[in-house]
Amino acid sequence: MTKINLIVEAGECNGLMKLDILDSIDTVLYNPKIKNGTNNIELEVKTPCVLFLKVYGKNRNRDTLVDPATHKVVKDKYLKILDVYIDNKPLDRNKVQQMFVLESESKGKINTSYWGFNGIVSFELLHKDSLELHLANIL
Amino acid sequence: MKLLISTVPWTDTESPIMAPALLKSMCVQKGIPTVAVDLNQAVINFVRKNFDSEEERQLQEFFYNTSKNANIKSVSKTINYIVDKILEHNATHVALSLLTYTSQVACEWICFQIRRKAPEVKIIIGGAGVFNTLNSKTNFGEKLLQQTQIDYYIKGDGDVSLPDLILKDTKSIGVNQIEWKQVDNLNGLPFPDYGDYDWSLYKNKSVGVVGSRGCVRHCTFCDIHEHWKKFQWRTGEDIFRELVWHNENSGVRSFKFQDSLINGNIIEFRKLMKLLAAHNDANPTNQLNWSSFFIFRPQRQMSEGDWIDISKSATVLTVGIEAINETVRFHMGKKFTNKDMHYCFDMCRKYNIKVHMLLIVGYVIDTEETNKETIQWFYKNKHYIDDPITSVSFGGTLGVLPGTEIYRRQEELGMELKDEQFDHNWTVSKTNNTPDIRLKWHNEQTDACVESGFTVSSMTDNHLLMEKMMK
Repeated sequence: MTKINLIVEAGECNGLMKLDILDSIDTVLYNPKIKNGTNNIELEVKTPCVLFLKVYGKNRNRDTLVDPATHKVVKDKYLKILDVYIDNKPLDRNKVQQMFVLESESKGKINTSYWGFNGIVSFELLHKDSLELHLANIL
Repeated sequence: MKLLISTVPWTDTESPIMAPALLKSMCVQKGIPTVAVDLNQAVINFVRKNFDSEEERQLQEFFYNTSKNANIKSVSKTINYIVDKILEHNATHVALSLLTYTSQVACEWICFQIRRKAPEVKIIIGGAGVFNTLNSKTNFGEKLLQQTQIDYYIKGDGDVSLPDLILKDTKSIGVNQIEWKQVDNLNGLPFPDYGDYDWSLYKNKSVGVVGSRGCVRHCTFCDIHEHWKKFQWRTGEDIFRELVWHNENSGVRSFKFQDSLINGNIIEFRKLMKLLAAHNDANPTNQLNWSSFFIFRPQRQMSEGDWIDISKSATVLTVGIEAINETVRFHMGKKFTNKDMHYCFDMCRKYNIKVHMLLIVGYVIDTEETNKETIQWFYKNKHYIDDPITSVSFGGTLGVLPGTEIYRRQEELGMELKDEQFDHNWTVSKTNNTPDIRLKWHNEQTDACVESGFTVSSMTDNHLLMEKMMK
């Protein structure tokens, strides 16, 4: 089994986003309790596998506050992936920012580590050995 | 308790690396059961045996600089081979010695796999390679420590810190900190113990020896004094005792000095040369020989008699000429004139001592004129080809290392450092001394050297540096 830690930042606006982690046959493996701020979500998975991170609970009409004067977002309901650890070793943070694709309900596919829409993020762990998972991230 | 000390690939050599053997003798003296192995060579041989030449090149580039062309399975197979070799000794502590930064990539993944396969094993890393790389100034030891991939890193002389650390003194100076203390006296220390080395691995069966640490020169481009504050030396008699001891114990007759320069202390060097000359005269079938870094000195400091003694045991002297132009060379802090240089070359030629010549291209005061002078020098001095100059090495272009005089004086010298993370990206606008120009000089000098008939020696890390500059 391979230990995966997802370090996820959660932003609150009318509550928090929800997150389910599913395996490829649509079974919910984890349903972590998300708290405001930084969350360390620890999973043990058998690799190779593809994990699906279902992000939900956002009402796009209500859960993002925008300053009408500046049109800047002042408060948002979101999840943001900060770091990924495989067997206690972090992946390169710059790569982590680019490795997730959110298939959103409303905006289609978005390459982002900031999940501000409902949708599904796929996370591919395509090697059996965690050394090779790390190497795949750098090679 | 059992300690395993090993080198880490990738160091491009065919000779045994000394550090584990030296550290073993210090640990054994303190009562620590210790095994010392040189896995660098074992891995190089493993890669040659198991992969084709293209894969071998890709692996070497991966270990040097995380080249993206390497195959995941090949890297994984190689790392697992190393880790299994380490763990077969069932040690409680594993100390990995990084000779240069080119060991960092391998070290990172070896530590990761040891942690996974044997989480109870304490991992210690040390050696000069723990610090700067071509791409990063971050403290590699600190990074792995924060990632909990290692337990300790050692800066500086591991001779004392490593056994102290194993014997539970985790707060010893030099452990998990940048500050460290030099060993007070190099004389009388136990000799390196190569007993666990597999001698069948090496093409070159020479043994490493330390005669001194630090340097007597203060070259403006060199950061050695950041690491070794004082020049420390062993007596000629003490070094000679060690050479004879190795010869008597393992039959080894060739020695490779690990010093920055063997003739830093000219009095002790002279004593050593006389002892070796006497030994070799008395033992024509068991003569001892050595190779080393060496500084050229004026005739008043090294007479023809000295050269005769040197010729009795020296094979190859690696000499940092660094600049053909005398003004540039003196600016660097090299204290020999062109006349001195030619005197030394002539002595080497006369007494059949071979020279490996080191040059730096693109020093801070180099210009198009000095570049031309260097190019012409090769054509004018063809009589030195192979005798004594067997090879010329252009150590890349000048990198401005933190802790060097040129780094401290960069403003006064009109240098602009463009990228603190890459030492080679600097410019002197006034003389149009830019990375592109230096790269051009490097190529022109190399071409002239080859065209005139000299042999150019090239190392992989130098290629990587040139590639990085071209980007």
